[in-house]
Amino acid sequence: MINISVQNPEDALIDAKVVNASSTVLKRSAQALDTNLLSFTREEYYKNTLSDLQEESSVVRQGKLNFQKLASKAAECFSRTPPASYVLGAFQVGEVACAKKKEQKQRAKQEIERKSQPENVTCNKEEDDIEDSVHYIMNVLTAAYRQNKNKPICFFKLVINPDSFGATVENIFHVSFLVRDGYVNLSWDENRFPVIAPVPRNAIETKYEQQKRQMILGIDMKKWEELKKAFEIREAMIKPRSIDATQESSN
Amino acid sequence: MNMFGMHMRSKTFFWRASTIEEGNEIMASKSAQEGHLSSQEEENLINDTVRYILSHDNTKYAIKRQDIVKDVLKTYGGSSKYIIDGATRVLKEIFGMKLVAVEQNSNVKHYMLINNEKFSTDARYMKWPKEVESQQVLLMLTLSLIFMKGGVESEEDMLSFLSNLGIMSKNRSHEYFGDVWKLLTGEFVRQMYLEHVRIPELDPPKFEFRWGRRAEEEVSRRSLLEFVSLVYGTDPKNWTTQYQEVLQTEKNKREKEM
Repeated sequence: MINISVQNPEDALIDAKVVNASSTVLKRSAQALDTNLLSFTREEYYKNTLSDLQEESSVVRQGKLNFQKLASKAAECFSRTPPASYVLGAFQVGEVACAKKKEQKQRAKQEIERKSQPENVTCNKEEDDIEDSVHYIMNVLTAAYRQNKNKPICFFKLVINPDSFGATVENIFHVSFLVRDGYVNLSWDENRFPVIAPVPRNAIETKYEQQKRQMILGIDMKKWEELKKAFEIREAMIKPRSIDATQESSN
Repeated sequence: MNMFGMHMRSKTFFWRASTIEEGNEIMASKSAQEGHLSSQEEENLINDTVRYILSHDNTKYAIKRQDIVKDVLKTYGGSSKYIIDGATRVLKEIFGMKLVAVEQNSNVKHYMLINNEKFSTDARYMKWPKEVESQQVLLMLTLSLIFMKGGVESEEDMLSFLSNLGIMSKNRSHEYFGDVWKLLTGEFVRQMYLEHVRIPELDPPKFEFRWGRRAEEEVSRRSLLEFVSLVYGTDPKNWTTQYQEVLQTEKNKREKEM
């Protein structure tokens, strides 16, 4: 018997395949059989579900079905664990915030540094400008003094610029440096007007012996106009620098 | 002091909760080197495992035993069975959750967390996140279809069912459910609610849907049958086959727990 089956292995193989296929088909048919009183079909199920949902949903939402109505019924079917979450969250959140702050601080510092550098440059420039102006005024004053036969010059005639109030104030500012450092001497003339005279060079070296007199002066535009009229100042003794061109105002 | 004496001391000394932490640590590390775990260390490991499982449960993907060993137990991998048993006990008694082992291949164990409590009356007071809500509705519809059809449903039948309900539409995600097909074939399969398997020996290949392992544990067949009966407006007992299945499953579960 065994010999016979071995002699026809191809047949045996085909037989086995046939048996296999037919058993699968039988299995599927058995599964498809229904012994219910009520048979369940997909079509009936979905139709019923649809009609149920449509009844419950409001009149406004007729186009879309409101599946949310089923939510509570669905939740009943599951024994699901609720999601576990921490009240305060992960510890790392704090570190991230700090890192950002540090970066911002560093950036802010860098920006401030960059900003300050140009400022430094202009400051130096300004200081140079002031020094130059002060020197210039000293020269003007010395020349005027010599012209005046070594008599002190009226203070207002020196500083007032009839065309620009701003320039006047600047001139007073520059002269104050000279006064502070003792290069010029302030005093009253016979009419109680302030006069100014440069201090001779040899006296500057012994400036500790000098009496440093200082004057507190207040000036506004009204006073400036009055002084211009009183002293009949038509022309500025101290020529303004080129930058002040924009400050000139007409009378 | 000899080793034996120290070991005995550690066992009796740390039976009560002790506040001398330093002493604990020194003794614990020494006894761990010996190959025994002090009860303090045991407790710590069990608690860590419980916390690990709880936080990994958020996604509902299976928790691999290897991951637990790698991340929590580390050098104490040898006592993993003992620790996981302890964790199961804690989860059941304190949190009311069941840690179920799923064996895919032999020796490859996955775990999933099921709620041990029955939600028959209290369910209406629980508020799930919106995603979970819509997923539960979708699962209820699909699982009930598979159940009523005897446990298997082909891909095409499922597709036509969902599109008739207006849930499935090509290239468009549903307003409430999201990308339905992706959920069915990807997310739910990974969460073990559904199985999407290829029918053997069919060319061109066809697929079918079955209940997944998590669905077996989490989903109550009785509730599904009640929902279907509600929709049809009949009594659950009229569905003889399905009702028999409900009774059988419940009986099996009761026997398992004893």
